[in-house]
Amino acid sequence: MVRLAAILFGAAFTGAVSVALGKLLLRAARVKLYREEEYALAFVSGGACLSLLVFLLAAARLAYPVAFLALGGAILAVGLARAGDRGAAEPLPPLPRAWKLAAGAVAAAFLFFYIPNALAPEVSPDGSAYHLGLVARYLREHGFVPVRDNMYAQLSQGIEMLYLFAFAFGAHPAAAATHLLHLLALPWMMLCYARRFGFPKAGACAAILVFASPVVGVDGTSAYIDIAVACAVFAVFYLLQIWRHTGRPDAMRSHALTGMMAGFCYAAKYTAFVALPYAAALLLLSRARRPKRALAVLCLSAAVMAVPWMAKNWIFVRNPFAPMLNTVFLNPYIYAGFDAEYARYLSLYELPGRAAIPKAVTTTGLGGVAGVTGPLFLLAPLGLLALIWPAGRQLWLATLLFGCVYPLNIGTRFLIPILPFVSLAMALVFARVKWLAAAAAAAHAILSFPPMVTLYAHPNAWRILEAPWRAALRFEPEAPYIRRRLAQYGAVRMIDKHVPPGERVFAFNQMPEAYTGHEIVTRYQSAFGNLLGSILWTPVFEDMHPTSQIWFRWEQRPLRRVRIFQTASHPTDYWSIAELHLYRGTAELPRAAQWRIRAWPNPWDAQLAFDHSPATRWSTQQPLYPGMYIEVDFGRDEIVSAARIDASHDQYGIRLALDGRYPNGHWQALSDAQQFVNAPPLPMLRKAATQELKLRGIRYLLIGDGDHEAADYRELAADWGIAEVDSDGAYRLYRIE
Amino acid sequence: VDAAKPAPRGAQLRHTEESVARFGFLLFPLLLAGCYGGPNWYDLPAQRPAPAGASDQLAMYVAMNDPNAQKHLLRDINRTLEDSLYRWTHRRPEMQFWLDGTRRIKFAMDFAFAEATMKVTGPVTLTFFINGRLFDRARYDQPGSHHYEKDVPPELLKPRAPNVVAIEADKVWVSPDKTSLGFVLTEAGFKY
Repeated sequence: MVRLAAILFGAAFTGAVSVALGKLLLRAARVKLYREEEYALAFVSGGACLSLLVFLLAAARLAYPVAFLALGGAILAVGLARAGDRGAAEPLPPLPRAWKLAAGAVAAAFLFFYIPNALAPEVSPDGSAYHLGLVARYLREHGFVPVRDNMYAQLSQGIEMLYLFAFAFGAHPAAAATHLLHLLALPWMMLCYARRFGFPKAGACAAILVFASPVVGVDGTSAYIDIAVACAVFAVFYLLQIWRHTGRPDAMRSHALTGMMAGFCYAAKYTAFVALPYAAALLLLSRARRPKRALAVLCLSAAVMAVPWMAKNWIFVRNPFAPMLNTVFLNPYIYAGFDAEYARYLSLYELPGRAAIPKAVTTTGLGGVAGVTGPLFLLAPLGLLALIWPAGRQLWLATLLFGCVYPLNIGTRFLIPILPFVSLAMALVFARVKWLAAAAAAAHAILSFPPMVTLYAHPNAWRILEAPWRAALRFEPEAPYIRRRLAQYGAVRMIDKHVPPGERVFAFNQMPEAYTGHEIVTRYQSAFGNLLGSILWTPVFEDMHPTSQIWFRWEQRPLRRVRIFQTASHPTDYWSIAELHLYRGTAELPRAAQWRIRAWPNPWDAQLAFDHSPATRWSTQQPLYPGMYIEVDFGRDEIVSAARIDASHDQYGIRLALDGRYPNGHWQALSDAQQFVNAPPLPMLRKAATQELKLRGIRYLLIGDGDHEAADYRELAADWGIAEVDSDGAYRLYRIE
Repeated sequence: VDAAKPAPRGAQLRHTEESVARFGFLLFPLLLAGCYGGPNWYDLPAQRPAPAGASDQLAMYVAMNDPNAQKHLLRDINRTLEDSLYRWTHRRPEMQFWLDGTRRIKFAMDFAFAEATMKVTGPVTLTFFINGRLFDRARYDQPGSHHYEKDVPPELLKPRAPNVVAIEADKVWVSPDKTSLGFVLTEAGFKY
């Protein structure tokens, strides 16, 4: 019960501090609100402000529970002292009684599932892996530390700052419970908006469509961030709609609040950056007074919330927009080719084509899109009929702008920010036909009720599976519950049991880092992880063996430098070199200490082509384009007559040429004719690979039985030079000897 | 200041300083761009030790044109390298290869039958022995290049030791000088 109390305190304290801070903000912004909408908007806008304050504390390495307690206490004290200043606001026009009862019944039925899922131990994949994995790390380290081996640490984490505040008191479930507060605030704001603008029935219907949606339910009861993002996005829309209809002489304050929320949208999730252009466009379209000043106020307020995240990334990883735009802001922490590869995957996941998206995201959850919105959203095109009303046009404008980033990531939860707008537009149409809105809301509630979703969604679709009241009330201990629901939990327990403190572990796939004190380097989450993965794959995939020898020969002559160019273009192939050897006659030129090397692109890995290890390779880490090169400067004049590249076979599109620089500084093309020779397989390649990991500070490998060639590690452990430390059935922990 | 008269040297300098102070920020990016000299140079990294078996020891797989190939050839393989690429075999060529482990190992071989010899011999069956024990049989009825590859049961192999492979051809072409020629070998050995 103490545990449960701590969880409830963590979430309630975060919520209360957010509301108190928000009320102060709304008071300063002089936005005229109705009583019902004030709490919701105060919670969301105050949350934005609290997030920034927590960011500053984390940046100052003051992320201690006592600091959060003092901050929250001070805000509550000021909030209470000024509570009476605003005076009692008027209530909104009432909701019809039948709708009030219907909405209450739906809320009660779904909260029976939502509350225990939020309060039970966190078992969501991303929540337990990085949303809370990073939050837990920030709390351990009392603030931000450079986390360069995990791209998720570079995403903006505005909502995670709220989770950090709650986590400090109630750990993992306090964060999910804070998200649940957003899940309550979102439909409430929708309802308030609809009541304010005169379509309460449609508002109630739309609120039910959103609140009951399976993906909204499972996301909002986990330590994900999408519902909180949707709240911030809807708040921007809401504030702008209020401003449009109640234009005030001191609207600059309102623009400042809107700008702050738009900036917070970026701080909460990159894809919500659209909030600022949306707000700016609406200000201009609605003919704001003193438009230049209005825009300046909007943008500066947004910058206050957004720029800190860019600055953090600039300082830690040299890319303000990391982990994106790595081709623009080149850095050694995420390979430049990652952008295109990741974007390609996220734009379709495992679906056969774009035509499959509607069914996958509404009904089946297949193809890696994860959750489902509910089949009723297949009727979303009907909502286009709402375009005949001004409110409908505003809703579709917001849908269009906030939805324009959806093709970048077609996961179902990336639809959540536009779900309120689409739902309201649909409900506006439904409400025009007697009983249709009620029928739609009822049908959606029935189809989306957790036990019903199983009937049409794929068994692996991400959704609420049960109402774990025993786990929520801590009658069922945490560890067995997590082990039952989270497949990788046993693996991280193994790590904590066997791996000495401070040691890092390499894994091919994401692990629930929120439940371990060890840092896990995951293959796809950073350039370092990619490099380690590539080293381990080199021995097991024949295409990656460095057994293709590419020879360049010319008449021997004195040279100061040699440069090998790549001259072809290819959309997917990369160029790589395991080793570059230079020859004088038939003898290899001994490598000397004064040699220097450089390469472009990916200059940071250039040394891998000269380390005499068959397991490592320099790679462009970008698809081929003409002008890529690797160059060696001998530091003195050397007689050279040939060059040999040891390369892997997985680079079919490359075209190479070799230039030499004479002692007088003159460059000359020496050879573009190459001889290809297949070298025999290399002995001891496996051991060479694990030794490379060891040299990079990795002494433990976590291999899942489902990982590529997992049997190879198990059956050839001696060849790899590894020993199995422990196994939990699905994962094996190996130590590199 | 009289426009016809050149400004004193100090004034010119002051004027330049003011301009730099006022507009210098515009020049800064240009200066930075001009200074770009390509990516950084790096020193040679620490050199990893050569893997065992890479140079003077037995390998697990060898190409016939490898400088290290001779020590793998035990009998019935011509010592002369032809066209810098292949060697003729006789009736029962034998080779040895080093293996560290014995699991998930394949034996592989790239070889060819000459059209002239096969015209005389007809289809040829090769019988493979590993460490003296029968491993496999394969029949070839076409001249030209062939690739053979098959998983080897671990019990036929010896870990951390030389492993001997013998390939017996059921028919060979016998030249007028009584030299028997089987097939042309390009590379052979064990692979993962």
